Amino acid sequence: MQNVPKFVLKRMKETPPAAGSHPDADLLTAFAEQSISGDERARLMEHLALCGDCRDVVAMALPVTEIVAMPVSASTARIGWLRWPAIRWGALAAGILAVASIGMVEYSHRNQHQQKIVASNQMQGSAAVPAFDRAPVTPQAAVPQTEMGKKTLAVSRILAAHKAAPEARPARPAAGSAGGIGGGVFAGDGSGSGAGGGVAGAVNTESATISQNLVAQNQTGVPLQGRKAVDLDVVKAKDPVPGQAAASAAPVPQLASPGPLQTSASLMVRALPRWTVSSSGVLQRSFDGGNTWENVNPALNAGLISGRVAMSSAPRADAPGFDQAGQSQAKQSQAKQDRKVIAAPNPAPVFHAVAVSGLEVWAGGSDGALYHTSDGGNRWIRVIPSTTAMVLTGDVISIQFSDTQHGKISTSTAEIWTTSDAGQTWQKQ
Amino acid sequence: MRDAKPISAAVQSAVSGLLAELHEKSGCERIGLTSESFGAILCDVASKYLPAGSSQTEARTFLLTLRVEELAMARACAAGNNTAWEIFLTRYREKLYQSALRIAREDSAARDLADTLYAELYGTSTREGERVSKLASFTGRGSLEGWLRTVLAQEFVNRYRRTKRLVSLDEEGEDGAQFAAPEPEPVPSPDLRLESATDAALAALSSEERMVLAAYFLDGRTLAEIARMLSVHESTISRKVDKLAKSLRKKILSTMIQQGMGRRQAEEALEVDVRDLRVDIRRSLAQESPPATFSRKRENPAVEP
Repeated sequence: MQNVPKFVLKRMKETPPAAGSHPDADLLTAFAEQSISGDERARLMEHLALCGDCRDVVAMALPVTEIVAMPVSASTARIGWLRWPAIRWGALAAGILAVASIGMVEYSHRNQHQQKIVASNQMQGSAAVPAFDRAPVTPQAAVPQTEMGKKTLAVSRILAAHKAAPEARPARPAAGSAGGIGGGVFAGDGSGSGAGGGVAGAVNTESATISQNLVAQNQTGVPLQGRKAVDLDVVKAKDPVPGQAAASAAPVPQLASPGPLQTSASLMVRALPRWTVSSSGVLQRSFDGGNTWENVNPALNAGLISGRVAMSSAPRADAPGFDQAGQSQAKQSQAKQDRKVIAAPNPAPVFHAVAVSGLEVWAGGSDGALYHTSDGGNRWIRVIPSTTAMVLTGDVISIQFSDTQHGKISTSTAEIWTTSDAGQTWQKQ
Repeated sequence: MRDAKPISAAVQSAVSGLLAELHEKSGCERIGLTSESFGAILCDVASKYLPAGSSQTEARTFLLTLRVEELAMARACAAGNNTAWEIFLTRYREKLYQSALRIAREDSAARDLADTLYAELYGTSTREGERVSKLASFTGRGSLEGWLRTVLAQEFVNRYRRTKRLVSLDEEGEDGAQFAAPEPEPVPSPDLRLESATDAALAALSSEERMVLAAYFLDGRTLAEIARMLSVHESTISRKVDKLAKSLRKKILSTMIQQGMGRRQAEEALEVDVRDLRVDIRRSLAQESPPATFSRKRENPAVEP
């Protein structure tokens, strides 16, 4: 606080009060209680500015207790529950409640997410299976069934396998044995011809395994014996009868509605793995955004087809006017005859390139190794680009796919192979 | 403060127009105050405070601001009405003593102060054969409770604070009580330019500003007390005091510089009293040697040098 020079105070003290008597007690009281105004208050203020006695009287007559104590007691009575301790504990309780709520919501969300995945897989299986066998199939219906058939190939085939072969054998280690079962299952046009195979391939993701088991549980009379969530779980249908799976799956087409399909598609997109090739040439994928990586060896469960066979494969399922039901048996038998199934080598090649487009993954490496998956890496197909005259040689060093259909492969021998139909036919440039 | 003035026609007219309403509002009937006598009281009060030539409207407005219920009770008490006294004692007896204790800050002094006021309120003195009560001077401009506190404070000031220097009773009872400091040595011939500049700066202040400065720097009132005296917030007074002190100093220096003084010279002239204060302290310390307690000085004033 700024001080006033003492000389100034001395002059103030020496100034005499105005002539006349002091104001009476009524006026001083009215002044203190703000009951007077105007000239009367100005005159009184003038007197108080010069009269220390009257200032003291006004100051001593102030109702201290009423001004200070009354509002406090009133406010305390009015908002007693809002006193500081109550607010403090209330805030703490609110914080705990908020954390608990978030935890519960997150927990339920995860549960719901898992259930949705299971349901979507089940839905896809139910939707895809009858679609393959629906006859005739309109071009409009063929588009979704092809896309979903590619994406949910494994699950749908599991369902078809169980329906077609209730006596399905217990799972067994599938190394080197998965490929080729069912012939046309792994054909380039698998969406159309795969249904007739009725074979369940490798399912090595947790969600797929869970859905697989749940699907199996939902099928009455289909035991779960021997089904385990292993890295490679193969259910093989022995001598499946073409069309049987379609016939058995026919009663559930009503489950295939656009809503669940879209939901499952979005869920699958959301669960897309990330792919990379390590410095040592190992193909790896990650389901947690790159935090953890797992090695993938497509050679373990890949059916191997040659490009020559692929070139001679049946028309694509999404081709307009393609009659799946009517031609499936002929196509399958033709495919069985034409496709040369070769046992895939177990040792993983040294990968040099990987190209990813959604669930479509192409990986290439040493000795012309070229693998393709349409379901995010659960089932692989080895593809050997070839023409009638020659076969790809050397190491695949570059893979480029502008979309799911059009791709270009470069090799260490300076060969460039291109495809415009997702690897079914190749041209050497 | 004002002498009794003749009752104007405007006041009489205003009182006549409001008498019925105010009489009912004041509750005069239960304390034995007739309408006529209450009207006469209202006329006296209005004539005392309203300036000459006030209109009927002004008189009416003034009458409506009065606390007629308390005015009627005080006047009934002054007239000796037992009912009014019972009401008065019930309402204000305890408050009167508490107010006295807060002012006097000591129980016996507070009781003495309160008893003295009771006697005056009851009317121990007589005039022309009639008992005169202090309550007869209550005009209802403020609350009766506030008026009682003010009367107590006035009585306290009259009895115990004849000098400008304040000495509270509890301070006096304490060991090492404070006494009025000796008047400082007169400032040796201050510069006339300083006096004139200071007077001019003080004269430029409003009455409220000067009252605030005097209450804070001369009376030693706290900011909170001054704020309550003026019914404003304490922070307002704090800012005002600081601003006033700065502007006062600046204005005095500016005036002195305009009168031909150098800035340094003006500042030295303004601080002259501070140097005097230091001299006084040294002088006071020398006089009080050997040291003695305040209480011993009080008990044996003759021993003091």
